[in-house]
Amino acid sequence: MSLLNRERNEEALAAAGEVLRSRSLTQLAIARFLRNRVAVGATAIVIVMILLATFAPIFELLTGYEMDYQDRNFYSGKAPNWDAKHYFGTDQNGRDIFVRTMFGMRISMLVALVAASVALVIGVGYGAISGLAGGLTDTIMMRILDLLISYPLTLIAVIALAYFGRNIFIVFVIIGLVEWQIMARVIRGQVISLRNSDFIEAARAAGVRPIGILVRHIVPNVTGVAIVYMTLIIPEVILVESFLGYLGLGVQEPNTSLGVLISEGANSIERKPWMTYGPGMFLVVLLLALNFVGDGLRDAFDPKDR
Amino acid sequence: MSAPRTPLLSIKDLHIEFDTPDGTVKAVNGINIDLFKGEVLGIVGESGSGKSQSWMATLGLLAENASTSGAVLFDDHNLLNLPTRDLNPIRGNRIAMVFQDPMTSLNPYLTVETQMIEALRIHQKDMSKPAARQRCIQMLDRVAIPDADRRLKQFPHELSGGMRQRVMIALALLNDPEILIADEPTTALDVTIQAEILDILLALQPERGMAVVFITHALGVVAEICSRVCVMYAGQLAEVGPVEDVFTDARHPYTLSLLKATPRAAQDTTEQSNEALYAIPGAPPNMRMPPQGCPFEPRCACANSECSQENPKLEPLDDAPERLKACFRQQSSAELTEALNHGR
Amino acid sequence: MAYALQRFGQMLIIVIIALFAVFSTQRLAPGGPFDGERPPPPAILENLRAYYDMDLSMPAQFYAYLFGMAGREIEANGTAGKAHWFVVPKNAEITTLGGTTDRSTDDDLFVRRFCPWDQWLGQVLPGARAQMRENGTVFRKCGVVRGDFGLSMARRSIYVNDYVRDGLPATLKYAIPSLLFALLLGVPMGFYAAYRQNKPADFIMITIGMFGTVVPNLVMAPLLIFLFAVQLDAFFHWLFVETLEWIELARRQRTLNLIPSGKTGGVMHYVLPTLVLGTGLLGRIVRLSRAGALEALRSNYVRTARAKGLPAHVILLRHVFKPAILPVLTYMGPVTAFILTGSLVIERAFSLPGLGRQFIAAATDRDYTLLMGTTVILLLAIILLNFIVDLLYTWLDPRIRRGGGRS
Repeated sequence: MSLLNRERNEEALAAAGEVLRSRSLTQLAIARFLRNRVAVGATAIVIVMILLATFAPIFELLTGYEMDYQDRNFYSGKAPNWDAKHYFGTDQNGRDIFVRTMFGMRISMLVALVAASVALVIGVGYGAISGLAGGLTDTIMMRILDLLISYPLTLIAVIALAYFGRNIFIVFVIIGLVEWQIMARVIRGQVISLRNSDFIEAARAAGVRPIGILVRHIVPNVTGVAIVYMTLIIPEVILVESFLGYLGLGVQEPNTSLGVLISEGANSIERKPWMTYGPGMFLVVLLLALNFVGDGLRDAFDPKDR
Repeated sequence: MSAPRTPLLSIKDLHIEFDTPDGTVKAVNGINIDLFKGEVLGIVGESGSGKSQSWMATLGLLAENASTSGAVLFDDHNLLNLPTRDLNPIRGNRIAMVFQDPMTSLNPYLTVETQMIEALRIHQKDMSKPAARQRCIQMLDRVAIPDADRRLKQFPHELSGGMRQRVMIALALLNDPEILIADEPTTALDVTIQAEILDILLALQPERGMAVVFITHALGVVAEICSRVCVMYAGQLAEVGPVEDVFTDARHPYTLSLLKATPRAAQDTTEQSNEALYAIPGAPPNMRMPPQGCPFEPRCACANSECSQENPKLEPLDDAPERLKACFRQQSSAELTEALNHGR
Repeated sequence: MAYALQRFGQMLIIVIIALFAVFSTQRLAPGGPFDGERPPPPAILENLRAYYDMDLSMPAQFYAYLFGMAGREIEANGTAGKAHWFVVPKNAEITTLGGTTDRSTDDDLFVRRFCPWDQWLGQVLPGARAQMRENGTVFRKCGVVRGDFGLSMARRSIYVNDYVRDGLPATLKYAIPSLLFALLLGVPMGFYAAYRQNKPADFIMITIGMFGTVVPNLVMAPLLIFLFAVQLDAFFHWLFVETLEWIELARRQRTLNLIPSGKTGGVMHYVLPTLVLGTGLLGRIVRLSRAGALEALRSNYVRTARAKGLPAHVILLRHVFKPAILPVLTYMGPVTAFILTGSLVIERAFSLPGLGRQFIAAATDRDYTLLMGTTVILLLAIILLNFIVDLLYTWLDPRIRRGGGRS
């Protein structure tokens, strides 16, 4: 991403030169993030999409989610038509796809929130325990993680969902269980480098108790990293949800998700391609924007990784 | 100094800038250095003074985000804007370099043999592999590596730090270069091994008649092996001259401070043992925004208003034309020392 | 080698644990394979459960699944006995493997195929019982370790082995080409991008990498079907039939069907699946190899190589290749996972009869044996590829080769 990061704003740069000496690491990172135009643009897109998803019911009122019973062929689906306010067309049940996409995005956002939080809790817990314990425990835990990364936990999620998943929150939690390993590894690395760092050493020498060190030094320093990697997990989580939805294992009717919509569209791609366009476009744009935000944040917090 | 000699390599008004996400770093700001045949030239300065970068630029080894201006003249070529294709026959062959960190400067994935033979055969295309191998063994013997035949087959991680640096020197000398640039070759090593490496360099230099550029921040090493020295500060030359003259009769406040800040064993114990070691006050300037005047002015005990207005040029001393310095103050070494002591 | 073997051993342990996890999840989850809308009568249900060892305790079931188990007898009236081989009652109707119907004699021993509806299917070993009595031979279910995955639970006349035999090649037919496609194209692309960092070529490669990574399979599949299988065909039809009036073509078939969107048959049916899976992999491999090459290019040893006067291609091939390929190699472990996950989407999107489809069908139908069978195959694929990766690793990295582990 280095190339994109290089596009920068000259004025912000001059300002940042001043900043260099005095501000804290976080402020510096924020300044660096704001200079990354692509990441800022992506953030704006994500915010717009969050708003769209939040106010999805309004679109329902505007465009009419109800089937158009006046039209005897409503069930055959309609191509996009701006006059009829069906911007993305209608599906095989005569429902407006734009509205359906917005509702699908809602589910994606919900997943992003719940599943990423689950992944965050597990990842931070596992990584912190491994990093703090050190020694043999650390070795074993990391070996297990190493091996787990090579296994498709998504497939386990498929099995679990086929057996247990009819409740939407079970779906979310299971997705969260899939995506925690990288977080755990990063947190462990951060904890270990903190443990060995001079200022912790100094605090220990000065007689600060372990709890004090944990609360005062380790937790604040790990939080930033955890948040950055959570933004990187979110697109993964959304992807897994749409994957499960595509396979018919995720959320069930009347709820819908982007994956479910794409799956429905893919079944009739030859006759009704517009059914895939809208949800597909939104999914790709959402994932792309989230990736840019995550990359931008990571670069800003960890500038050596370019 | 009789008739003016023609330099083997001369750096003319070299500027180097690094384009970083946090701003442009002006690492080197217009330096001029002449390197003569058979001499050992010391380059001294703090970390970040641009001493390594200016010679990296000579061989086109700067990072991607660097941009240069000026000229490095060698054998009628300007090395700075020579395309890589034309630069390759020169580097490694006529100008070789030894780097600071022997731990990472050898490729960990290739045997010593591969790395040495390729350096030889790229410049001497008609050399056979066994002949090249023989030459490598000779060269390793020359840098005092025992059991060279076995060492050749090993990977870098199987060698100790001092051993690797000796391999690096052997590697650099394989093609009998006219110029050897040694970029802090002993910094990363133990003191005892440092001495060995210096001995090897000192023994090899006259035997081959090559010019050596010795980049270091250790003044003691410079005093020991160099004939001439360039003192660099903040991307500029502060003082240039024969080592003995500069060290005994420094005319630039920075050189003096540097000398004063060097811990000495033996000789000066009586005088200095009870005092804390001298430290130059302040920190080097931020090279993203170099000061308008003399870069040393904020830390200089002898500075006056002129120094903060204008950047002094590097000019020959009135009483010793082979010596140069960049300072408006024309006092003698003793007077400057007095001012320094006063300033504390 | 020792390192790779050690890793292989660890993987094997994980495989056993994973198998047990799947196995116990199946058994503990509510519902089962036999309680559909019309559950079989109790007697048959009992017989079925006995055949699939489901009346045993869980550890015993797992043991029986792995190693087979001797000694379960099922009587003609359908109650579970203690013998594992099946003694066919005298004069029972037998459908042999050839499909012919037969009547059993007293000493027939029935091996393997068993159909719970008053009908015996399989291989009849005449006089086997007498043989057993004489020299103590024990016939037993083979178990997974001997390559017997058992009968499917949803379609109880089909062996899981047969499912795998049909499904695995169908999956490999696009999985392997897509991996080759991604590696052979992605690694040079990544290297070139790193070599020309911040140049337009680099930007193009980054964009490809980004889109390959971000655009999910499930969007890519319908997109490519629409573009190549639908629109391209329509275009050729328009071009040849309507514009150039190639009557012969029009008479023979409606369209050229140049790149069919899957389902059956020849090589062309696998082009789109390969492309969909391949682009996803390509994106990731471009990014990884670019990052790896960039790191190597910035390293001190490449600076040394440049100082030696080596030309760019020697530096790239000799000094950069090995360290830069290592992250790609490390990724080959997760790549297997990616392909397996992707296969679920792709086989659904292109209606291919691969393992992924069977996996989903097994999960939704509660077909325990089929699910276990496909899981075993998937896990084997993973540890095999990881083993190869570890071997390559030791070959590439001298620090592992001469003792020590991967840092």
